[in-house]
Formats: sequence, C-alpha cells, structure tokens
Amino acid sequence: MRTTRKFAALLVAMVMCLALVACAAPAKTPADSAAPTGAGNETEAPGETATPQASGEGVKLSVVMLGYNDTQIEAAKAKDGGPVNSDHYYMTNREKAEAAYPDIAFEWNDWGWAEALDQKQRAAIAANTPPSCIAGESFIPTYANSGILQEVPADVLEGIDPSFIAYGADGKPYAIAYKTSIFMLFYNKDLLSRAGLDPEVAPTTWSEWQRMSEQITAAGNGEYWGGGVPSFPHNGGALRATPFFRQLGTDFGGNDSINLSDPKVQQVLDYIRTMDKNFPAGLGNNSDEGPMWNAFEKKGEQNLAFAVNGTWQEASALRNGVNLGVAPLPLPDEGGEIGNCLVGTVYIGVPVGVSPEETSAFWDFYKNVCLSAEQLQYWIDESCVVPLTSMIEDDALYEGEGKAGLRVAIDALRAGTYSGQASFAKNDSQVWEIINQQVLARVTMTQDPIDQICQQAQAQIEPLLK
Amino acid sequence: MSAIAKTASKAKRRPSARRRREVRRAYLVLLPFFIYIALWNLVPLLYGLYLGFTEYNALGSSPKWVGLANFQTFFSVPEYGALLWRQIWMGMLALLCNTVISFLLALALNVQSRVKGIFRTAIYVPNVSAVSATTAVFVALLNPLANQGLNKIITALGGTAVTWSYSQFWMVFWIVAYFVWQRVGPAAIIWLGGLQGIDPSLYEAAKVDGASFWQQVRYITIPGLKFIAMYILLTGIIGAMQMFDVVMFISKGNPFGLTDVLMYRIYRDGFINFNLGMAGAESLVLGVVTVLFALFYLWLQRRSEDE
Repeated sequence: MRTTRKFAALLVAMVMCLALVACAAPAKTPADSAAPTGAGNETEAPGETATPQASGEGVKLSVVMLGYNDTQIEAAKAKDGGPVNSDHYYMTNREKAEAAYPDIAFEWNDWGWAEALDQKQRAAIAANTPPSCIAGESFIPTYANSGILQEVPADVLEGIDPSFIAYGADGKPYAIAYKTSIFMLFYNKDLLSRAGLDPEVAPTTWSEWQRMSEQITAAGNGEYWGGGVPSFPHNGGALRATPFFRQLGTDFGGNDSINLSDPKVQQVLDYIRTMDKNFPAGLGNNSDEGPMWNAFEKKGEQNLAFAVNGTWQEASALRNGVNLGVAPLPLPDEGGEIGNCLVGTVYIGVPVGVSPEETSAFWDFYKNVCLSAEQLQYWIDESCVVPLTSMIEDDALYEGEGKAGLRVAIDALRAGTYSGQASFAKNDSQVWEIINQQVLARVTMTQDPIDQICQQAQAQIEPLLK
Repeated sequence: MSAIAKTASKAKRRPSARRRREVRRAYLVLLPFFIYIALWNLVPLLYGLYLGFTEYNALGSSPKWVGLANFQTFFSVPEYGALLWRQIWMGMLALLCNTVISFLLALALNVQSRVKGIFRTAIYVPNVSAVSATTAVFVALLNPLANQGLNKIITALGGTAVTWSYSQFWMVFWIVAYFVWQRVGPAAIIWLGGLQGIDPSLYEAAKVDGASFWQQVRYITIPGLKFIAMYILLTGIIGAMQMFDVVMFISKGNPFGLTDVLMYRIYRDGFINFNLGMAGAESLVLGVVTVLFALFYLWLQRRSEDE
C-alpha cells in the first residue's frame, strides 16, 4: 500500500511538473496590444546613409523573412556558384543588424513562405505570442482587415513608393514591402527567328501576340510552341491573368463582390482560351508550374517562345542562356489601358501584441537596415523592384546588361500605382480556388461555354461572400 | 444454501484486497498514457467539435458562437454534398482495390520460396517512403508533354500522348493506383499472418478429398480469415474516409475540382482558408458518416455470423 502511495505521489508530481512546463511559455497580455506605433521612433528617412539607433537594450526581436538563420546561411553557401543576390540580402541584413544593435537579441526565423508561413504566423498570433514582425503577400490584406496589424509609423513611410504599401479597408497603412515585381512578356528571340518573325519586334497588342504565337506554334509543328496566358489551377494562374483583366478596366472582383458576370471578364477569358491553343495540351493549365518554366528556360528544352512572368524571369533565363527579349504585356486592340498586378511582393508589418519597445526597435531596424539603399541594391541585381522612390527615379540603376525587364517594370511603376491581387472580405482562399479551378482552368481544359462557366462559378462564390 | 456457503460465494465474487491493489497499480501505470491521450487526442477532438459551432479565423478575436450556421451551410451548399459523395466512392474504390490486391499478394507470398523475403520487403517499402517524395515521382510521370514521363513511353510505342490532368478518369485512376501501391504492403502482411494461422491439416484433408486450389481458397482460406478481413476492412474504411494526402499531392482536386474530396476540403478550410468553424463542422459530419459506415459493416458482419 505504501509503495502504491509513493508511486501515485511521484506520478502526480511528474504530471504537475509537465503541466507547469507546458504552461510556462511567455504569453503577452492583451494590454500589450494597445502598442503605440513607433512613437518616439526618431530615425532617418530610408535610402539615406542610415545610422541605426543603437537602442533597444534588453529587447528581443523575433523576425521573419528578413534574415537567414545559421542553417539557411549554410545552405546558401553550399549552392552551386555560391549565394545569389537574394541570399546576400538576407545574410547581410543579419550581419548589419547584429553589428548595429549589439543590445538587441535577434531571432532569425525560417517559417517558409505562402501557406506554411501563414499557418505559423496565425498559430503564433492565436497563442498570443506573435513574432516582432509578420511577413506575407496575398494574405496581408486579410491580416490588415482583421485588426491584427499595427499601423506603420508615418516616418517609416517617408520615401516609400505607394505601390509598396499595404493599406487596410480603413485606408490606413499596415505593411511595407521591401521588394516586388510586376508581370511582363519574356520571349525567346531564337524561336521567333525560326518561325520567320523579326526577333527584335515584340507584340504590342493582343491580336499581334496571338498572330505571332500561332505562327510560331504552326512552324514548330510539335517541336516548339508560341505560348499564351497561363491558367494554372492555383493562384499562379489568377495572378498572371489579372493584368489582362485590368487592361480592360475590370477584375475578378474584390471585397464583398464577385464580377464574373461582367462581359469584359468573359472577353478576357475568351482570349485566354484562344491563346492556350499555343501551349502543348496540359502545359498552360498544369497544377505544377515547373514544366512550363522548364519549357521556356531550361537548357535542352527552351521550346516555348513567350512567357508571362515577373521580373525575376530575366536573371533566371539569362543564366540558362536564353536569347531573351523583354517587353511590356501586350494591350487590348481597342479600349485598353496599361494594367498590371504586383507579384513576388514581401510585405512586412508589426502585429498587435508586440510591446512598444519591441515595435520601436523593429521599425528602426527595418527602416535603417532592410530598407537601406545599399541592401535593396541586392534586389535590383536580382531583377526585382524596390520601394525607395529615390531608387525608382535613379535611371543609372537600370542600365546595362540584364536590366531590360527591370527597365520595363520601372517605366510601368513610374507611370502609375499598382496593387496586388484583389482580396475578398470573406473566404478569400476559397473564392480564389473556385476562380482558379472552376473558371480559369476549366476555360482552357474544356470547351464549355464561357458564360455558363462564369455563371456557375458566380453562383458558387456569392454565398461565400455573404 | 447455508449462511456459510452464501458468504463464501460472495467472497468469491468480490475481488480480494490484494487484487484491488493490483488493479489500482495497473491503472496508475496506465495513467500517464491516459493523460497523454487526453491531452493530444481528446482535448483537440472536443475543441474541434466546439469550433464547428463557431466562426473563427485564428486571427485576433476568439471563436464566436454561431450555433448550427456552419452545418446549415454544409447541407445547403451542393458542393459539400458532392465532396462527401466523392470521398465515399473514391475512398471505397481505393479500399476495394487495396483489399483484393493485397489478398492476392498474400496468397502469392504464402508459397515456399527462397526469395519470398525480398518480395515481402519490396511490397512493404512504399509504405515507409515519404508520401510527398513518392507522389512527386508520380506527378513527374504524368507530365503532359509527349517527350516526358509516361507519355515518352506511350509515344515511343506509337501511341498518342495523354493529357492526364484533363481527365477525371485518369486522375482517379492514378490516385487509386498510388493509394494501393503505397498501402498494399501492410494489408498483405496482415493477410499473410492470417493465412499462416490456418491449420495446414485442413488443406491436406481438402486435397485428399480432391478440392481444387480455388475451392480451398473459397472453403478454407476465406472463412479462416474472417477476423483478419474484419480488421482490414474496418481500418480500411476509416482510412478511406480520411484519404486526402494522395489527392492533395497527385491531383490537387483537379481537373477543375472533379477529384476533390471532403477531407481535402477540410484541410483547406482549416489551414489555408482559416475558416476553422466550417472545417470543424465538416469534420463532424465526416466523422459521423465514417462511424455509420463502420457500424453498418459491423452489423453486416454480425448478421453473417448469426446466419
């Protein structure tokens, strides 16, 4: 009996210890949530020779998508040819931050990207232990509209191009991107030549592009193809289709409305269906994007003449030896306007629940290190567009070999303000999934009437927005 | 009966103090596991059920009680019914193929051969391989280009390249093929264990009576494997109703949603769309349907035993 009691006491003690350990995670109180946004954060305007404030004694910054941890650094160094420009950005961000802020303990988190990142961030927010900053692209508007992001301090916004700022439905700025890209038309000059086309003349209108693509496909006779507008059954499809909708002054919808019954939407879908015939069957709407990019740029393949992609395509295609041409996206023959969509954007914001000291220290670090001209140069060298207006206006940065795509993007950015993919107030992912699978992919996989496809999808989406 | 006899009988029925102590000690030994199960299984299960009656996106605010609204959505939007039906028929098709093929494999493995160890290992290996890695190979094989993957073989043999991703038939075919390829090993090993538990003298007697191989299978093997079959089918039904990783990696529900299943929808609603309330409601419905299937199967089993 005594043994049993001892055993029971030991067990109870063990369980209590476990429970205590499990509950000991540092939780932030809701009181912390009312953090002022960068009050007293007296830092210099971004882009200037920044002198980080060596403040933040005892502060710990847990950051995402702004610096590499040890494992990531090792992986970058182990790459064939060593780290690329994007790796250098993250590696030197860390070096500079740790040198400039010796009193701040940095934690460099690798939480992946897209869904994986969203899941980890939501888990941290739900557990009331948010990191010092959150990152993301398409889901940032949802975060902003859910009231979980702090407003970006006005001084951090100074010198930032408005295209790089994520605003909430209330019109307030909640996040700033350190890099982005827009879509353009890349083409393989060799394939244009083989099809009897002038390799130096890019299509400027939809009909020109269609004619050229059809000519290449016919000449290729199953060996090479012209290509068209991708309709991948995931966001990669909707993102690439969006500029064509915006060129006609329309879009899939946004907030609490869906716009598939718009005749202009159906006109674009008809064009996408027509252009899809210039892909080998199943390539333009494959759930795996890989085969399409391989067809455009991989050594030994390079059998696709046109590709709609972000500016990063340039560096990658040139590395693979594609005889590359770059042009703005062709415009509709009549009644069109320049339209595009941001892609590859990395927005950074500070979640509610981060203490005032941490918030202030974070914005100081982000503005003076991550948004400094010196650091952003790495992204320009990687063919991406950066947020500083001083850099956007500096022509010298976009001259020389391998900068053709970037010049096209910068010209577009100078001509107007762009936004990312539209977002819906409710069930955003589910709505996009229907658009991607039941509209875009179905338009190119079947010959079902486009108005019927749109009508069915519209009926599916409307209840999701209520 | 005398008073002494009655007391003795009572004492026999009541466990002794020593026995009670042993039972208590046994429960104490098991207690950590009960706590572990409660923490990691029961609490999340109950919380998931609770979420089904709420609206919650894991951002900021707490779950908001909405009563039966999510269930109302489930039963009023035809899409959810279609997903449930597809989960049932695709899952059952995969289960049927897996059960039959694993049984035939077990029969083949039950012969005396010097290389049977290699074959047993070979059919089990897919089950311990990472799904994400092996499905990537399947996806690469389904490349639509004529000079890639399976199409390369088909065109080399004079056939026409197949655009696999355009066809519901082909995508279901490859989902089932992968499901069977990956899970046939464990089922075959269990069948094999059952086969080896059947008394060999029964086969010898049947041979003496002139029974053919298939008659031996029909009258000795299958009845002898009743309980093994029950285990395989019962766990198989549960597995089939939870099938989603194969769908996610191979077809992603395409072409245009025609291979989408409810379990994949639950995953997407929960962890991509963060509509955790709807995911909870869908899970509850799927759980109830799975339990009903399992009970129906057990009822059929019991009825056949009674007959």
